[in-house]
Formats: sequence, C-alpha cells, structure tokens
Amino acid sequence: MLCTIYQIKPELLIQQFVDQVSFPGFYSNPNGSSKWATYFFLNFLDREESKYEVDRELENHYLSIFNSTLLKLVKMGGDNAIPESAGRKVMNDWLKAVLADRTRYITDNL
Amino acid sequence: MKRVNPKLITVPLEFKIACTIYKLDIQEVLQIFINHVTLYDSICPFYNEGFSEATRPINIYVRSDRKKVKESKALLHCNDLAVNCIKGIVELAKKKTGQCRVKRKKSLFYVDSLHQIMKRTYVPSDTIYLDENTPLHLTKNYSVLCELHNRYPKEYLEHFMNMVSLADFHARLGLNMDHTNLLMVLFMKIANGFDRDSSEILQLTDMELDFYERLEELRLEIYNIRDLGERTAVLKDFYLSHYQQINP
Repeated sequence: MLCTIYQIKPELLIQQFVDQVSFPGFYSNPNGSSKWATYFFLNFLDREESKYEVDRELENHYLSIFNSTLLKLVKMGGDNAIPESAGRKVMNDWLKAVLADRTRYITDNL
Repeated sequence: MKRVNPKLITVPLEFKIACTIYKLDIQEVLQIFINHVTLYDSICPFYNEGFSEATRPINIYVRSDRKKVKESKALLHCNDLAVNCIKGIVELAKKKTGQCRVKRKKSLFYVDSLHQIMKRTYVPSDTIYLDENTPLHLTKNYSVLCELHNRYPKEYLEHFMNMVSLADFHARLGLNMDHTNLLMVLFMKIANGFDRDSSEILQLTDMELDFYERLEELRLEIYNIRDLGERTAVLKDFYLSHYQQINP
C-alpha cells in the first residue's frame, strides 16, 4: 500500500535494502546513513532463530577474525574503505569455509 | 576472619545500576525477595513462581560455605520441638495433593512455632534498615531461615544482590545461553511487574529515552561479539556510564 501511495517500485525498495545489508560496511562505519538495513538484518538474526541455520563454530571463528581486523584498522583512522574491504575479505573467507563444509558433507557420503 | 557488621547492608553497584535502568525501587525489590524466601519452598521439590527462584539459591548458598554448616544456635535449646516442626513442614511439602498456596499457608503454623521458640541470635529484630529512612520487614519465614542456618539477614540480601548483573544477563540472552542464575531470573520477573504495581506510566527524560533507544541498537550491534566476557564488558561500560549520568 505504501509503495502505491508513494509510487515506489517495490523491487527498487527491496534492492536498495539488499544492497545496504553489509557487515563490513556497517561495522566500519556504524553511524552511516545505510546502517538501518544491517540493523534490520541483525534484528532478524536476534529474533527469528527458528528461521535460519548457521554453523556456530565457523561463525565464532570468522567473526572473531573480522572483529580484530576491523578494530585494528578503524583505530588507525582515515578512510572507511580500508577496514571495509579488509572486512569484506574476511567475509569471503568465511563464505568459502561454509561452502566447503557443506559440500564436504555431500562428498563424504558418496 | 573478617568482622561482619550485621547492620550495614552493602548494595553493590551492579544492583543499583540494574534498578536504575529498570526504574525499580531498591527497597521494593528487596522486600519482594524477602517475601518469597520460605521454609516450605526450601523443602518443596515442586516449582512455584517467585518462591523457588528466591529460596532455592539461598539453599545452595548456605550449603556452599562448608565451615558454617553447624547446628542452629538459636534452636539448640529446643532441638526436639524444632525437629518436629520441620518434620511437619517436610510432610506438607512432600504431599502430592493439595495446592501449594494452601500448603504454604499451613506451614506457617510450624514457622510460627519456630519463630516463637528460637533464641534470637542473628536476627535481633524483624525489621532491618537499608539506611535510616528505609526499613525492610523480615517475614517470620525469613527470620527463621536465618536463625536456622546461623546467618545474618543481610547475608541473604547481599547474596541476592550480588547475583544481579544486567550486563551478564543481556550478554547471555544475546548468545542464547541458558539462564541458570535463578536470582537474576527473579529480578527480571520483578522488573516485568511480578508482585508489584507496575501500571504507573513512567515519565522518561530525554536522556533516558536516548539511552533506551541506544540500548536497543547496541544489543543488535554486538551480534558480532561472540565471546561472553567481551560482550558483558561492552554492556557493563554502557550501563555504568548511563548510571553515572543519572547519578553524578
């Protein structure tokens, strides 16, 4: 209804949201104007536990690296892009680990 | 051995912070705690809201100090009578039929007797003071439980308060850890309106509104901190600075 009143294409709004959800983006600049999308995501993680599944061991491991990486770089000050891209690299490593873990389950059972 | 001043009740900082954040009156919270510590519930194996959370940790507390597990000084002179009273309560508690509320009321008959015959050693009066203007009324159950275990009234109160830490509670909540701290569970029940009139509409200052808003954000932001100790530290600092702003 709101999209009709404001004449917004829903897919545009959703795309905007999707583009702004980002741990590296958010944690390198928690006061940025695009923080709300990540807050929404974090709120979802906090409240809707039954609706997702994550390997907590991997999560703890990579978030810990993520945190210390960002902490170190944000402390040094300067451009947000540096900690953000460093954070992105950690997220990519995490993704690789998760995918490897999931395919291993499949290949182990062959 | 440190000399205990039985009259001076120490309210720990974390407890003051928790009461400030939930806008609770310390006297009211402590009184609710006192009202829910009963002999009946220290024996009854069934769960009763409020009573179990208050009494079971006290049971654990009195057993934890090996040196102090001695016979009750107050009841030494009337051992047989005391034992009979306690047997009476045990019978009531172990009975599977009957409502707990009713059985607890019946146990008051025995508690009354114990209260009358006990020689006041650790509990000279049924009123203790938080400060000169703030009395706490000790129920007969509470007084008897103190004398039974040779403890000053303030010991149970201080144990309760020492177990309350909002930062620790919220950190565990966020990490989906179990709540094994019953006294903290009791505190949260009281914060949510247990046994008190919480219908009063709170007038919050701008600073307080900012704080609660920021609190919601912070609790989401710390998702990435998976270590309990680190998470607790972040929240602790935040709550402390809020408390210090209100109480400079």
